[in-house]
Amino acid sequence: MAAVRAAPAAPEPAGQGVPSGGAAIELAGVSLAYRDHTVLEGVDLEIRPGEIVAIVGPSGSGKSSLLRTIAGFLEPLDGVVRINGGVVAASGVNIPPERRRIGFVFQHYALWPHMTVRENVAYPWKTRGVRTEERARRAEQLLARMGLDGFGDRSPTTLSGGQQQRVALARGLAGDPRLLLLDEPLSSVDAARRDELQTLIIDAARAQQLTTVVTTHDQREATTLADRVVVLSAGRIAQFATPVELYQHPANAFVARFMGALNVFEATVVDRGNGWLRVTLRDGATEVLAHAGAAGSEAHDETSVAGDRVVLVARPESIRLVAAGAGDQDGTVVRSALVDGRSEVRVEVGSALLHVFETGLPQRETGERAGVVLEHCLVLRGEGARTSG
Amino acid sequence: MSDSLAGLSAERPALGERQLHRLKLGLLAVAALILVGYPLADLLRSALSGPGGGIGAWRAIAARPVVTALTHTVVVSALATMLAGALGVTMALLVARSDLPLRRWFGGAWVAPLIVPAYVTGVAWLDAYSRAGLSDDLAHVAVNWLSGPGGVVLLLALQGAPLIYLLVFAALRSARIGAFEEAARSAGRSPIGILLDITLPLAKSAIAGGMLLVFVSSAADFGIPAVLAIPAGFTTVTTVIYSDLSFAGGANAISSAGALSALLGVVAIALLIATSRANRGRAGAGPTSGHGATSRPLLALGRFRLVAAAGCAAFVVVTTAIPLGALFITSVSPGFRLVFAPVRWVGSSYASALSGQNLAALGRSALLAGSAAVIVALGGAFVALLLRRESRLASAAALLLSLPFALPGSVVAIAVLIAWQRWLYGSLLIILLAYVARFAVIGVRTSTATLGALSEDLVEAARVSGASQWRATRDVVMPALWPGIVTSFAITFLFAVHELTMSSLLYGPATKTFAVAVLDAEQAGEVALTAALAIVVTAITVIVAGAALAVRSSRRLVVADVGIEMPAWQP
Repeated sequence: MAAVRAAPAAPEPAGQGVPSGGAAIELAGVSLAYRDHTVLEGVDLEIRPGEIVAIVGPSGSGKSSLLRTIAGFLEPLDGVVRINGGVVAASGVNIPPERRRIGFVFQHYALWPHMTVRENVAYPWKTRGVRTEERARRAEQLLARMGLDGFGDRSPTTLSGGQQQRVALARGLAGDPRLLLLDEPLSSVDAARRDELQTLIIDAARAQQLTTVVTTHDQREATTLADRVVVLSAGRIAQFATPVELYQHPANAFVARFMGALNVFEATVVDRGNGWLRVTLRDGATEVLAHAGAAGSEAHDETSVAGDRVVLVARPESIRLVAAGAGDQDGTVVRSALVDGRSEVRVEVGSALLHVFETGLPQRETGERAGVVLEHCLVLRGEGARTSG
Repeated sequence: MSDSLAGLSAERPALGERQLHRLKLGLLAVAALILVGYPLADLLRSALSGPGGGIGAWRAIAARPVVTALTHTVVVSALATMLAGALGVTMALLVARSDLPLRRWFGGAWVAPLIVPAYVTGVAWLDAYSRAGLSDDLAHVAVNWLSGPGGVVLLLALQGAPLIYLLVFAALRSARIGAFEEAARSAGRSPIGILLDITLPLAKSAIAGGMLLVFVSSAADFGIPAVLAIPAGFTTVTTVIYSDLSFAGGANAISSAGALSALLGVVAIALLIATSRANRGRAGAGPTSGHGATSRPLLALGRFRLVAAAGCAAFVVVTTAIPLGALFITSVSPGFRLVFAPVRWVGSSYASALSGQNLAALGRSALLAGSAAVIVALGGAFVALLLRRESRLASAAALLLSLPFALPGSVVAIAVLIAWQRWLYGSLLIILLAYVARFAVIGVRTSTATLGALSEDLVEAARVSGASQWRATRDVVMPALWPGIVTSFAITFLFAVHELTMSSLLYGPATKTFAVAVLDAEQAGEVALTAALAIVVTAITVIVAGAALAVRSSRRLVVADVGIEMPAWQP
């Protein structure tokens, strides 16, 4: 505690730097169970200093539990958690959350109703023995950065949702934390405020060079906020990569679907040539010809041979609709609508429903036949197909 | 900084916390056993096998006087329940479904008398309507049957009606019933038809639950029969237990009272389980809507509106205003007859009510009520904090502590007496034990409800901000808990300061409480003194309740759901 008290006001106190190359947060083989229910299973994760990482996954995938394990609210059943190289949780070791020097922003703000806004924000410094006037000054500084000058004496219950969220963020940044953890910070904020808050979070994290971990169920939010994204599925890490990698090389069908791919099909390769392959879909009847690009290109498939199980990902913007009979296969238009200034067409090819984006206004009639060309498809190894639910 | 953290990793801070938690759990278990577990077990033991108990005690129960008292209790309670049901349902329909003028005001006026202790109500009615009472003096009208079974039935019914009113009103306010009524209305059914086909059937479980509650509380009541039945020689179970102990004395008396109490307790518990079943149906009735169920009242009173309002006003005047007025006039009148006998000064009754033995009794009651309220409020907060962590032991202890409130006061008092008389007979401590045991649930439920409204996030937010568990409790949990502690204190004090049933069974030569002093004065025929004492105890009750309400509204307190059943068990 004495060392903490001596820490200067600067956001990054001397000596807090991490040995170069070391991870800011490191999880090794972390498992977690609640009663008989496994929440996390063998999670390995290394987050670099100053990095912004988003944890995404459907509800129940364990993202909140993972965040709370890093914070120290949950004790892992197995495995080791390190923060800046120091072990905070392992068998026989469990440093309580108050000694981990973290800022935490709760989904429903969790602002103390019996304290003023300033007292809320100053509290992390209060617990660390900073003098009253000094911590009030620092709290005001943070509030000003959040655009909340003059709100210090208000009760948090009198603020709007967006204002409360900014106070919660200010409190998370107070007390000179080493890590900033945010649990679904944008989920209860209306769309109009979301961009603004996103910018505030990124700016704050960059300004203090804070290692930041955010959970969200929204992949768009994850890819806009984060340097790297952890995709969780049923308590396991499905993939940990940059947004671009996730888009270009999803590890499996689950990741592809979760990251927003609309046309993901599990299939078996029938035949293949240079830059194309013919597959049958799961129903066994629908045959589709797809162009997978040359080796080394963005969308490619070098390895699969006839009989392999694969996952086929076709981008809506890479599907071309041509005159019936002129494409690789024919389909039937089932819907065509104007969305965000382009036309979104749904085409049935056998048992598959394809989402297609075309520029310009909708011109196709429901029931119309059209030729379909699948270009620049991604072909993933089939193991993923089997693990995805 | 990372170095200092690595140094910490050898520590295991959770360990000390865990041991402390176990210690607290042990403390709670011991308290629950001392207050409730052991006394109730000892009551059962002595009823089945104690010295002078066992067969002998049951033979005593089978004796004619006791059978007569049991029959009286059942008949009187059943009649009171039916009358209360009719009154309560009518009140609820008038307030929730009619266009009666001032209906909200009437709703309040019907519930307000619940604050007056039962024995005070009895005394007030005697002062108002009995022979030589106010009405006799002024208009030569006296209700001769007031002292006796008729008066007991009437006053138990008047005490029970507000409870049924509250339960049925809550059910009628539910959005669900309102929607069904509107559907029937649009189908063309007449208002009376809707009332019979839709409203009453859907409110059935609330009515049944309320009536069961009133039946049990009537059977358990001591204050009203003590004032209206004992002088008339009409016996009920609670008066038999009282007179057995007060006048017969000895181990045999205690044992037979114990056997009778055990019987009463078992019946009360069985009926309460039935009540909670009935109420579970009511809970399924859906959330109450924020507004009245329908904008157009179902029962349009038309030209009878004013007549109905006058009737309701007359009801309030006759059942509440005149008795309390008569009580006050009697308390300031100089002698037995009140009219114009300017012999002594008007305050003389108060002078003797607030001096000597009576003042000492008042001091004792205040001390007992204050101590019980402090223990219940702080203990309740302690239990609520322990319940925040999942623990079967804590839940079981909390359940045990909630039992005495559901039992008749006589049963709790006899149980405490049998268990602890060897060491504590005639001491204030044994009365305090009974008060704390009976009212513990107020503290537990109020604090649990208060803490239930406190999100765990708020505590975790303090922990990540660097606060230790103890500090997070102090900075975040305690400020949230404080209003609950204040409320439990006020409610417990309110109940304990005018408690009669248990006090009348447990007091010794040097430990008479104020409520017992009221009863003694009444039985000694000191009309003016009784009235003065009754006014004092009512004034204290009203002041404490008013203060509690003021605190509650100023702090927006969470008050537990003891609200509805509390008055039912008014000692």
